[in-house]
Amino acid sequence: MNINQYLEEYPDYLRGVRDASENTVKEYLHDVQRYLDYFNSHVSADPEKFEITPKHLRNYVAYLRDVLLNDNTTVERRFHGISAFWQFLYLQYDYSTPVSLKNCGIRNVIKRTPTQPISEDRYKLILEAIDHGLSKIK
Amino acid sequence: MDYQKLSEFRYLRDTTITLVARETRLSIQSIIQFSNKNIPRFTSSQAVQIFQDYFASRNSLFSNNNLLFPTDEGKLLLPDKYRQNFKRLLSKAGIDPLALSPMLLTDVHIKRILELQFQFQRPIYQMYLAAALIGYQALRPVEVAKLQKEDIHIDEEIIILRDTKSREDQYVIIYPTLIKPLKNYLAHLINLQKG
Repeated sequence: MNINQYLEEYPDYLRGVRDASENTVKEYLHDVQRYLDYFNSHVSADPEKFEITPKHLRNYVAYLRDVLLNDNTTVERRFHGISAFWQFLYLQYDYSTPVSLKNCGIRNVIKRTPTQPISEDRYKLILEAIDHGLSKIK
Repeated sequence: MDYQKLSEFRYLRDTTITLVARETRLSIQSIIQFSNKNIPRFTSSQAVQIFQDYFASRNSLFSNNNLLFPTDEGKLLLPDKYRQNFKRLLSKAGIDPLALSPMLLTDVHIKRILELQFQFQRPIYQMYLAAALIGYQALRPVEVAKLQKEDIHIDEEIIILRDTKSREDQYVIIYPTLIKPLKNYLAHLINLQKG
């Protein structure tokens, strides 16, 4: 697999096909680069042997969690970049079918802090404060 | 301490003392000793307005102070300190401060000093307008931050949001409550540009 050539084409695919913003292109490319770094140091430094498989992804996620101490949100975000790259390889170069995080056997529970809705009284107070401020603009 | 409020307070205080001195011909020494009970009488409506603004600003910072024109710390303002501030005020208004006392200020000078008020209030106005645009119009903070005055069309009552998250320009109808404050704010901006 000519990974360097694919990495060169990947940003154009993201922009042209997935209509991704520049920030997304930058982040996704960074995610793939991080995976590539991991692959080079832990699996094989030979570019021809580069691959994305559920097994490698499981090991990579374990590395992110245990060694880099990344939290679940970061793990999921990193996975999105790699997943899009995998999809790109699949569509453009008949690479193997992409597998979701869940189907790779990776459990990723993101604990979200529940948002507290503003009470009606508090909301009224905020609007009153804004209205009072606006009335000063004469 | 809210430095923005403090900066506005200082401007309003020094301008009010200047107007009191000019209209009443009282000495600075006696004016700075005014208590809350010595409410000055002004002849011009502009002076009345600035005094009302000053009084509101003073009360929000020093609600329990007996001095009408206290320092930032709530103490008695010294005449020399006022004179320093007065010179700075004139410089800021583009008036030659040499040998000018409050009594010698012309109506044109006063107008230029009063026009400074917006510059001190602008950050506070911006904060209220930003909160209102987010609260009433449901704009994203980044959309508010990117707004240019050319994007607000008061006559058509629309705001144009450029380069939004969807990467398209969007037209938003201005919420009725916001029309007047936005109009006033833009008028100040245009005056500032002309000045």
